[in-house]
Amino acid sequence: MLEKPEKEIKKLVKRAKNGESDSFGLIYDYYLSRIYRFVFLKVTNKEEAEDITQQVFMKAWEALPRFESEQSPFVSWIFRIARNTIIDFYRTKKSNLSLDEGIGVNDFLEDSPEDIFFKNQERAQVMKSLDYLTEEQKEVIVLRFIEGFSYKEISQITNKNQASLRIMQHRAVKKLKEVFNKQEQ
Amino acid sequence: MKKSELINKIKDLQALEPSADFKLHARKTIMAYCNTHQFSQTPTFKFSFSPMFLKVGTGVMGIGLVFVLGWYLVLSPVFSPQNPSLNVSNINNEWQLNDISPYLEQIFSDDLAVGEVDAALNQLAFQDTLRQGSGENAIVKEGQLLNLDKQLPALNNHEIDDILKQLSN
Repeated sequence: MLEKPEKEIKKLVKRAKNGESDSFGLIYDYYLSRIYRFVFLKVTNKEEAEDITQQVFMKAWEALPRFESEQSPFVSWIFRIARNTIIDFYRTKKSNLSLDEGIGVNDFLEDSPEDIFFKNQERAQVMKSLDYLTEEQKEVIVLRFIEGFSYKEISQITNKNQASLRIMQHRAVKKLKEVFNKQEQ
Repeated sequence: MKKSELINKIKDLQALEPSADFKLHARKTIMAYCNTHQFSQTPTFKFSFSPMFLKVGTGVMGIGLVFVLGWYLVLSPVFSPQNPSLNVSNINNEWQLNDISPYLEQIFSDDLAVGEVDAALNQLAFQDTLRQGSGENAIVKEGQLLNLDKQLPALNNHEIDDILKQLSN
């Protein structure tokens, strides 16, 4: 995944910290798709993913004066906000998706980008397979393989140690292999 | 299915994008939010006492201090004379410990010296430990109860990778 030069991001963050909303707008442009995808793959609902994504950026703007670039990179920081916002969302809604309800691929609005995207059967199958994982395993798989984070960065986002993350990923891949093999039979 | 094939399938989800409508609409909303929720870079926090509050606070504290000192220095020795001390330094075994049970009530109700109460309670705790087995045994048992998941994070990344490789094979 193409990464904007870190220096450039740092400059934008510095300006945004000084209250320049235009700089924050550029940060938004750059991270919107990644944050939305991360949220969507967790909540699997278009409207909810859009709401949460907006909240993430609003929270990021409010928390920006407290952001310390020495402690963690901005990308880890904003993903941590996204993760916490999703947790808050589940806490308030208390909605746990069962395997049967699962992904809700068929529930998308007709002709929405997500609908078109998942009309590709293979993608829909991958998405549905992710639902067989625990929330933690799914999170590691999304952050590692879809968002391309290192273990160190995932550790900063999730507050879990790198060893646990490796084990989680191993188990998740093993589980996914089983699921795919079953589906292929 | 190979791991690389599986990862490639998952990576295909990178193509998922929000709708153009949402991108535009959300941007406007966020920008409006940023402009109406401007933060100041240097937060100012003033902690000020009003002179009135200061006067009342000092007065109340002064009166309280007089009452407390009065009780401890003058009234307490008159109304609560010291009880004879309980000799707990010679309590060495369980039988003798049983003998102190009548004193327990006294420990908690009477005004014994802090050191004496501590000594008695330490003896009781020690006997309790002896009854349950040695501390070392307890630690070993606890260690045995830990499952693999909890032990693995203690290993370094290379060791874990080696184990995971072995598991994968």
